[in-house]
Amino acid sequence: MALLVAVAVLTVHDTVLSGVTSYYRDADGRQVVEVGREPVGGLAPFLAEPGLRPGTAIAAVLLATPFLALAVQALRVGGVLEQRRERQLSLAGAAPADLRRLRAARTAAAFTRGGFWVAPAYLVLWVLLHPALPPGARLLPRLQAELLVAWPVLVLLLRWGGAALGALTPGAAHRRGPLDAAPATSNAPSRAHVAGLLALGLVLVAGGWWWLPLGVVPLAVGAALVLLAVRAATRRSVFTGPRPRARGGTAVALLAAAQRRGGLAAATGTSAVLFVCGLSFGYTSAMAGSLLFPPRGGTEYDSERLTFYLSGAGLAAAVGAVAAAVALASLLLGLTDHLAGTRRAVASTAALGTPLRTLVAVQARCLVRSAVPPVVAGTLLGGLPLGIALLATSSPGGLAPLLAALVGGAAVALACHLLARALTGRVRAATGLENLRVP
Amino acid sequence: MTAAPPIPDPSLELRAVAHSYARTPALRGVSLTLHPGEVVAVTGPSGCGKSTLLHAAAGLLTPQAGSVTLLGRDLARLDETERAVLRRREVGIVLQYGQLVPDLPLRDNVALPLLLDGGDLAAARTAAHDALARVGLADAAGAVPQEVSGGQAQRAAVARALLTSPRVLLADEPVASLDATGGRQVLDLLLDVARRDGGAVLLVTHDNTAAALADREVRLRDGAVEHEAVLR
Repeated sequence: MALLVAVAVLTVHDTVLSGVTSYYRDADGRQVVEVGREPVGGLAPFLAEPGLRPGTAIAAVLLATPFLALAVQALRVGGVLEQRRERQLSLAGAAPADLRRLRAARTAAAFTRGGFWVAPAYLVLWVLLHPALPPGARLLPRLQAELLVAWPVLVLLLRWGGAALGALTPGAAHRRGPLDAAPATSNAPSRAHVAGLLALGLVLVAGGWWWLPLGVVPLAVGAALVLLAVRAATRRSVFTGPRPRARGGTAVALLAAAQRRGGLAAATGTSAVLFVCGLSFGYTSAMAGSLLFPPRGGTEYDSERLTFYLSGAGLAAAVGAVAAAVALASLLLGLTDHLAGTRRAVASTAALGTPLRTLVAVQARCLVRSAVPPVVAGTLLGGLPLGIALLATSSPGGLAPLLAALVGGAAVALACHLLARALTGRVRAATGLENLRVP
Repeated sequence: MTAAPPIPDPSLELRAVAHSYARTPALRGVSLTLHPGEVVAVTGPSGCGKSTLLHAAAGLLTPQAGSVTLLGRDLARLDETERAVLRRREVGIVLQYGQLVPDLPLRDNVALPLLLDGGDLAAARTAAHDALARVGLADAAGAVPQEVSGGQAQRAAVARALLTSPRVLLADEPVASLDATGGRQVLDLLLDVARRDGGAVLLVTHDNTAAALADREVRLRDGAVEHEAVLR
């Protein structure tokens, strides 16, 4: 859907002249002729101004990233059961290529179904972001014929992409051989993960370079993703090192660290998305700080222009918040799957004398330790360069990234605790006595 | 004339315990008493209610009828947290397999009961290391369960169960997944709880060799006691 939005944005034609021309003299007495421009179809300036349009399209594509991470996470759901099924098929004579084909067929079908739903979903979004908004604030262009071509192409791309993801994502299942009784837990990001990060990073770097200076943000994000890929390729989680360590020495800390070690690959991918969201928060907060408290000698905008830029920053922050919410949902999905895959151990831990609230606290700690550091680090990295420059001119706006890191970190931590509370039922189910009998 | 030594209070007492899953009865009025220093083997075919009996004894399951008294406390009167605290302080539990937390080193797996009680990490790890040494796993203390054999994992589970010097040890098919040598090692460790430390051991097993090591055997069939015999 984000890709369809990007296509729609890029099909907007240049701003047309309104035909209204005004003549006046400036302060020095010079004659000024100003040709009025009118946005096409009452579009918001982010779409109407040709210079801002690529940035909006990139934002839409970036918004697709967390959903992609969510899709990968969804593919992992039921991974333990799937690995067991694959081992049984292997014992029955299925070759690794057969298993890959089976996985690809399954995920391709799911992605194709999702692709078919894109058009109706886009229509709903269009109603919300075009006719429902006043002229001058519309965030999607009128429906265009190009979308009818883009849709089937997108379905095909999704089908191929889904098949590739399906063939590559749970590949670890077969590495240890069909007779391995223990579920193969993935302790390092997969090659597909690393390759995906690297590819996305390089595309963004190239795109950012192409659109310089407008592409500073994609350039930074792309560079960050390339760094993440390099770190992941060295089999180290970016924010935790090769093996997450327990800090605090409590039972909750130890159990949470163990659980995060078990789901390191998924957590690393999601952390990368949250890091990018943090970069976006940091940059937009610093930009907002510079607008509200301009540095000495800097440009002071009139209220109309200020509102325009601030609403742009707000829009970027909102996109980041949506992406962060999707990434948190992805983490939650990962934890749910992990609970299902290790339910015998969870039930045994409960039998040992571990209260339910301790096990829920473990989930909360897992979420917090996976989500908060990347958001805070990204916010500081994205905002501090501009923030430090602002502080050097005695502008209090330079403190905005610090404030954003504090508020963002606290908000994410709160969300993690609420999500963990929401997981209580799943944790209780995992402690069920019947799970002491599962293999 | 000298007075007979007083009979100690039972460590575990089940009275007319009954429980069903949906419409299938698992236990039908089972009574059983376990005294300190005694090893009782509960045997019987698959599906006869052995594990359900152990779960009821541990307070993991509240039976639909009858009562369970563990170390003088009526489990029905305890809430979930109180039962959890009683288990981790006074009771050791050993299951068939897969009971260790994945990706957590054996040393920390064994230290868990002390840490759950708010114990200091360094002290808990020292105690865990000693317990692992007792079962011959000192060298594997830093390994995670996926990196050790089934027998080693089972011995680590026994070390965890013995860490708090439990007064009652409940073992559910503890040697079912082990070979003869590994099984005998684990059984010796479990029996030591009764023979050396004076604890009470309830051993659920379908292995006749293991059952023969107990002081008493209670055989279940279709959820009821079919036969009870004193073995030593």
